Amino acid sequence: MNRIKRPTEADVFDLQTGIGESDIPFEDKHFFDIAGYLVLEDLLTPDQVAQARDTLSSVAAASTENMTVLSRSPAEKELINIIEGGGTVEDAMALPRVIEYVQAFIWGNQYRLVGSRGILRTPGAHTPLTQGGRADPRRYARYRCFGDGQFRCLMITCLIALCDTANGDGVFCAIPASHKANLPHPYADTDLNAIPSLREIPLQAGAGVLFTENLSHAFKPPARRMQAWLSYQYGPSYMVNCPGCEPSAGLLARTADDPDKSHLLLEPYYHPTGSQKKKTM
Amino acid sequence: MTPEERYLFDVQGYLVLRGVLSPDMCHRLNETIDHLETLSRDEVVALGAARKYREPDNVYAKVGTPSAGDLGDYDCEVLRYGGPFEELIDWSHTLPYIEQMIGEPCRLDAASFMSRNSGGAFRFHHGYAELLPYSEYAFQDGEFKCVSAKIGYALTDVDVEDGCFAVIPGSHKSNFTNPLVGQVPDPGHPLVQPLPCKAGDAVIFSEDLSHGAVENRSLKVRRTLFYSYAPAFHCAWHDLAMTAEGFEKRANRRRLELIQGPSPFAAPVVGADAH
Repeated sequence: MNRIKRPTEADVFDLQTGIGESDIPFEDKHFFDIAGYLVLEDLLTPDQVAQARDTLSSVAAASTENMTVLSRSPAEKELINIIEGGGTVEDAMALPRVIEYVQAFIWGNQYRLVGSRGILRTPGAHTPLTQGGRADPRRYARYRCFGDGQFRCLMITCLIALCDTANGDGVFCAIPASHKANLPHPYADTDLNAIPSLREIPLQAGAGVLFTENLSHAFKPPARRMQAWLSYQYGPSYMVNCPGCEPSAGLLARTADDPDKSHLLLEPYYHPTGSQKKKTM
Repeated sequence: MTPEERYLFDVQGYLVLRGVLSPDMCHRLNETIDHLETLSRDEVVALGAARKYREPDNVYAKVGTPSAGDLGDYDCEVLRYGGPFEELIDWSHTLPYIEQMIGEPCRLDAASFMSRNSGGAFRFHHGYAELLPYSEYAFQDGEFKCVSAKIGYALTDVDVEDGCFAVIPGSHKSNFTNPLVGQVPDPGHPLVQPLPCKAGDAVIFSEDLSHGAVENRSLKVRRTLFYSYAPAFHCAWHDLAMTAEGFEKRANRRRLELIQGPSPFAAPVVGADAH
């Protein structure tokens, strides 16, 4: 008796698109796979940096309907959903150079922005070293890369410096390769300066660091002055928004004609829009 | 291994252990090498300590230039000479690390002395993506299961300009072929970690780690001893674990076991046979 072949899900849907289309250098893939981060110089111009800093200062004064100011300590403020501030802080979510890496490291075209923050840190601000690798309790942070060179990372962060940390003041730091740690790091109660494997990643204002959230990372406390940062979180298309990071109707309306931004702000989804019926059975 | 050492070895693929050779031990080892270097080619061959000079076309080594009257870059199978080199087979400051990293009965599969002159370097080789089964870094059920762990003992102070050992931390888990393979390690590259050492320090590393040595830009000769270990089911590398005459009588039980290899395929003692 002839059996009728039933179509599988993969026969009907383009389950994933844009895989392998990113054109980033092999050396960068190798670097990111080994170290868990990449430094991207000159993401913002000095004018953009200045404008972004002004936005952060004004937003920090008070929460608005679409942005929340969190104070984890008197020395640190987080400005949740900072893209609502418009201008540079909105544009910086879709920097082409960053998106090309996001596409390569997450899942082809199936990526979206799941969160954005402005960060203001003053002397006294303290961040503990995050747990990384297998010991990281945050499953949404998982790093994945397969032997044939395909990445399937979950959350990736692009952190952009709005102040110069090249001298080590308030610098972002990480333990390279800790995204693949099989063991928990033993530094929960250790001063950051006493962790030899913690590498400082100094950045000029306008430069950024793209890292897997599965990497053990921290900020060193600023010594003299306030440091300002922009932080964008990207995830696969099905990842929901971070708390407080729902885009407002106003933001969706003003970005509707921008294909890069509107793609980032799509509602979470599994299959790409228009992927159905790639083949008629 | 302390919890921190376990964490760092897992994350970075290597550990630097300071002062594992006492000044007296360093002196004895250097004194023996000094003596051997005064001997002619025929004399060292007769003693089992032949010098194997590096050829300019060597795949790995960039050959250095000796000062007038000095020897060229060479390797030597020191266990065939014996002497103090036999004591390092089961060195109590390092062997416990090896035992944990390999995670089952192990053996010594190679030992070699290397002398490197000004201009000499060692090009990067290896990395997890090569998928070499004999060098695999592995971790399973909370334990290391490496199949090749090596110790590099520094017999001289070696700083970056003296051509120190260099690694790419984390490359023992790399999913991509190392694009720096075949290149002399550049200590300024953001992935490259040079590992300066004082005489008596040791670097223990997984063979799956991309490793090499930066160029020796000083006039100092770098002296290093490498001892390599593997699970007991591995064979030795060529003649690199051959010992000097009389070793079987001199050696303690542990050294003998590490050279000859414990029974690698012994059946587990279970059930009715376990009387």
